[in-house]
Parts: sequence; structure tokens; C-alpha cells
Amino acid sequence: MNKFQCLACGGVYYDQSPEGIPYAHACAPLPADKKNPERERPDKRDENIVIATGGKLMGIKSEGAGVTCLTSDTINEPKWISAVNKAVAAREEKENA
Amino acid sequence: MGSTPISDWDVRIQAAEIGLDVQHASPPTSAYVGKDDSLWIMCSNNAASTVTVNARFLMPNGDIKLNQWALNFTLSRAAQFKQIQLPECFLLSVALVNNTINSATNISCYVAAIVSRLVPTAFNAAQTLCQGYSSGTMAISWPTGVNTTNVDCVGISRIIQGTTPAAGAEISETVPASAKWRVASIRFSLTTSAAVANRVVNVAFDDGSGFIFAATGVTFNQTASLTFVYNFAQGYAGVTGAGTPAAVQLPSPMFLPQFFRFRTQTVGIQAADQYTPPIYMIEEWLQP
Repeated sequence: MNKFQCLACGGVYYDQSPEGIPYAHACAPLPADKKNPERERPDKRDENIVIATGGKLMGIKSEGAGVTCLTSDTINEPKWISAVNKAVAAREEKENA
Repeated sequence: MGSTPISDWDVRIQAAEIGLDVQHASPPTSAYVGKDDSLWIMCSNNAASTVTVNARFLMPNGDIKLNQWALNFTLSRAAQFKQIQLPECFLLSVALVNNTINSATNISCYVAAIVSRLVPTAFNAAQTLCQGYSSGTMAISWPTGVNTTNVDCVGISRIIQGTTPAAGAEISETVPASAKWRVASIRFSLTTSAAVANRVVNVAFDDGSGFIFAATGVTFNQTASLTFVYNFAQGYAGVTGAGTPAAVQLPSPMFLPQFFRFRTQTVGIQAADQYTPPIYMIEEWLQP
């Protein structure tokens, strides 16, 4: 389990819930102020998985401004996202062959 | 007068009237797999999973074969399909079991066995043999066994620790893709800065694009330099306890489909106010 900081919203989170199930971070909307209503961040990160028609795994919804790992110098994203990206790359390679 | 017990002799003298033609018997199943058909295994999960498939086949020459496959599936609550190419045969039985080995304790895995010529999305499946949630000790099997849809059952209970928002920012938690949640309780704290203001904490539910359809909140202020604990849960009566801890009723039942959110909306929040990460309990179903 590693701790990450979202570089878009500044939120800090673990990549797993206490039970060991992967956790997907998604930035909160920007609050309303005197000039603007409540709105989504332009650089919003959303780690929820996108599935295309036919069950094709497409990766996470939005990388946004990225993340930094606070507990390891060698990891640059949650491990489960790396596994998903690897599966997407393998599928694309198979389709292009 | 007592009754006369039936003796073995009484049973033995009955002549058999039913004969079995075992040399020309038809297969006892309706799952014919043609030369262009395949057995497809569908898996939807909340963590990477291994599904073991055991199947028995009646081959054209009369042989009965047993085979086993271990299929690895990536994390995806949406349906993933893997193809098992079979020779022409009759399927006699299929059993699927999620035997993932890792440290996670709440892996939810919805599996199905399908006979189809193409990837068995909703329009292509020729025959769904069995489907249901499987754990390390519960196999889903065909032709005997219990089929379950993905929602006609008790969901898996999960405790999740969410994101710690930056100072001055709100809590926001999103239902993952292809999941359905019932939110049972949410707990967090708010530490207010020295900036003078009256903060009022609310929890809102929206569809992921900002349309709020339900909200609930406290009826008291949190002033500067204080830490209050907030509990939102189904079953609480109204709002009780200003301060530590506050207990607030959640709308019930609150079912949330994929990408819906719950989040705080804090009247009077200041730049240095700090929320802890929310700890929340949900019941989760997969929606492949």
C-alpha cells in the first residue's frame, strides 16, 4: 500500500482501501466563489477505469496533472494502474499485429 | 397388530420394467458446442482475480474428458471475456471458482460461463450456462447450482478510506466505474483554522456532473480553531450533537450508480480549514 498526492487537487490518498481493494481517486469539483459557480477542475484527475464497447479496457479516465508517490521514490503511479496500463498495451499490440 | 416389514426378498422379486440403452444414450445436457462455438468466461471484479474453470466434455468418439484452466483477469468491474476454444462436443458440466490468492479480504468477483461464436456481449451470447458471485470457497456451476444476477443478492460490505483533501478543499468520493453502492455511513473530522467564520457542514449527493439530488447537514455552526467529528449514517434520527461527535441522518436507502458522488459542501469554509479523509461503509455490487 502506497500513499500518493494528486498534483491537480492536492489530495492525499492510499492506493488501496484498508481491506486491500484498489482505490480510485477522483478530484473534487472547485467550489463556487463570487465569480464562478461550482465547476470541475480543468486538470481533473479521475482514476476510474474506462471500458469501451465489447469490454475493451481503455485505461483510467483522466491522468490530469498526475500524481507523486509520498512513500516510495521508485513508484510513479498506483500499482494497479500500472497493471491496467500494461493490459491495455498488450491488447493494443495484439490488435495491431 | 403390527405391519409386516418388507423383506429383501420382496424387493428382489420385482422385475425391472425400464431398460437403459447405455450404448446409444443421448447426452444429458443441452449444451452442444459446435465447431465454430467457444466457451467464454466472463469476469467482473473489484481487484485483479484468477478464475479457475473445470469442465467435462463428451467427445464425438464417446470419451469423457476433464480439463481445467486458470484465467487471470485485470481489475475491472466491467465485463471482461476470455475465450476457451473447444472441439465439437457436448458440455457435461462447468464449474467456475475465483481462487485469487493475495492479501485482499473483500474481493468481489462476478463470473459467468457462456457458449457463443463471437465475443458474448449482450447481443451475441448464445447460451449462458451459469453466472454468479464466486469466492474461494463458493463455485458457480452448471447444470446444477444457483444462478444469481449481479444485484439480486446482498452486496459485499466494504470499509473505505477516502482522499484527504487539501487545506480549504472539500471531501469528494466517487463510485467506481461499473459499481453500485449503498452508502451506510460516513465519518470524518473538520479542524477549523483561526480565521473567524461560521462553518456549516453538509453532505451532498450528485450524479458526477454536479446535479445534486439529495443533501443533508448539521444545524449548528463550527467556529474558529475547533475540531469537530461528524458521523453521517442511515438510521440516525435527525441531527444530534453539536461538536463531538455530531450524528446526522443520511437519506435511506441511498443507492448510487457508477460515477455518482458524495461530497461535503461547507458553508463558510476557510483556506486553512482541514478535513480528515472520510472513512465510509458501503455495500457494493458489480455492474458488468
